[in-house]
Amino acid sequence: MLDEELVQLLQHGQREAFTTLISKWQDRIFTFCYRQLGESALAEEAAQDVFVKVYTSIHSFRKESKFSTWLYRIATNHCINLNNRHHRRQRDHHQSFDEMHNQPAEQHTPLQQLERKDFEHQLQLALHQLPEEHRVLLILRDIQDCSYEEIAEITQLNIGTIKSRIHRGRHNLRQILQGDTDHE
Amino acid sequence: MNKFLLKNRLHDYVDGDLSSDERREVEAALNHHPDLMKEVEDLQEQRNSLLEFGQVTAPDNLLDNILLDIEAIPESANKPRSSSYIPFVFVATAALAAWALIPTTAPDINDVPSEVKGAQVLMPSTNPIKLPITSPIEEANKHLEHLEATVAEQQSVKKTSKPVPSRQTAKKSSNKSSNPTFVIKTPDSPYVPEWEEGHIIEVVKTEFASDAFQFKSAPANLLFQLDNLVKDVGGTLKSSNGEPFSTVELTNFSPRATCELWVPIAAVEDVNQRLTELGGQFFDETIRQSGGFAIFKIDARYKYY
Repeated sequence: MLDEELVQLLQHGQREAFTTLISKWQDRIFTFCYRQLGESALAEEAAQDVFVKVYTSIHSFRKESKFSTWLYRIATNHCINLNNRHHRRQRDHHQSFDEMHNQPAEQHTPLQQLERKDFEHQLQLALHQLPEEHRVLLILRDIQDCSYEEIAEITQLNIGTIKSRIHRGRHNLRQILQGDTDHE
Repeated sequence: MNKFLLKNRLHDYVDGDLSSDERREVEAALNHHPDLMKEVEDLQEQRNSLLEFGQVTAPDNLLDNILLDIEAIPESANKPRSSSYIPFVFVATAALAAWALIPTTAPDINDVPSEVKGAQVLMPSTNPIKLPITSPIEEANKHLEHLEATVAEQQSVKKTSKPVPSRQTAKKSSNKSSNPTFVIKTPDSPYVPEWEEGHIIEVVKTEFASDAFQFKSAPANLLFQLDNLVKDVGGTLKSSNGEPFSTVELTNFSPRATCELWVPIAAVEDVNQRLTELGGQFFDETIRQSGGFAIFKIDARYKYY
């Protein structure tokens, strides 16, 4: 069943439709929150909040955009709010990232890094080295595979700005993953 | 294709955003620039790995936890906002009851986060519409007066040492006082910035001494609310230059909102009521009309703007 049909059922009071929507989107929203916030427990809480917010605000969704766009917009705003609240914790993360890079140098190409079991963890740390305005766009584009048009709707930025930030974000992420601390 | 142009197209190439002709052109040019070819390979590898390894699976209990959360939410919480003002009257009545029982001094009016000036006269009208005399606020005020009198009577019988704050004492009290402000939240909206959530609509009690309640705040997503309101009655929301607002303008928080509501004449009373519920305050009883529409001018601004 399409998202829009599920939304319509939910707007008519059928909670079962909401269960289907959650099942359909929980992995992607959890991933988004996890990549944005950097902690599994925090991401779980955030994803939970996002879906509850969707439930309580479903009647303000007027279907002028895709449900997914609206959902990501809620998630984006919520994670930005949480990040602001937890900025101190973020700083701690950066320290641990720095500590990791102070370990004996290991030269890895991105491909070799990919093969490492802890790539996923390194990716997380690397993402958190990026400015939030780059990170959120990079997550939406390169992890969630959203189109530039969808990202424009979600973030309310123009496509030129989005592309430019994503290009810089990709460049910086590559440098961080390659162990080059001299990124922009 | 020169190197500069080629470099600018690398991300479009990796994103698959080029036509087949453009792709061929880029690929041909890349053969002459091995450094850029390497960059493309790295970018593609990074993009593929992010897509493949970037996804994580939600915890098994996430669905159950969400369902538990929403079980605790009353059915009415995800119902569309009603145009009825009965709940508002109820809350306002409860607010005064609480105020009457807690003798405190007046709040600082300057603490109010935003203010709304409701429908205003744009220009002298030759065919004015008379707005309804009674309003939900007045009805609420009557309830509150009754409660206030009852409480005062009970307290005078008990001869308690603490005086009940009358309207006059409330008005005379200091601005630095901590008289409670009663917050009425609008339905949650994803577009409301978090820092606004506690200050959606406030009823400031110091103003009891004047005609009625004064509503000093507006929803942070006022334009969005107004757009919903006016569309419900078949009207239009226009910016001050006469153009409709874009989705971006409607959904973004704006420190200043100046606009016009073009409302079918038949819906004037309904809109009047609902504007008041949103925190609007009339400055005149007449409004301009044109071509079967009444035109409400809205001027709302955030306190610090």
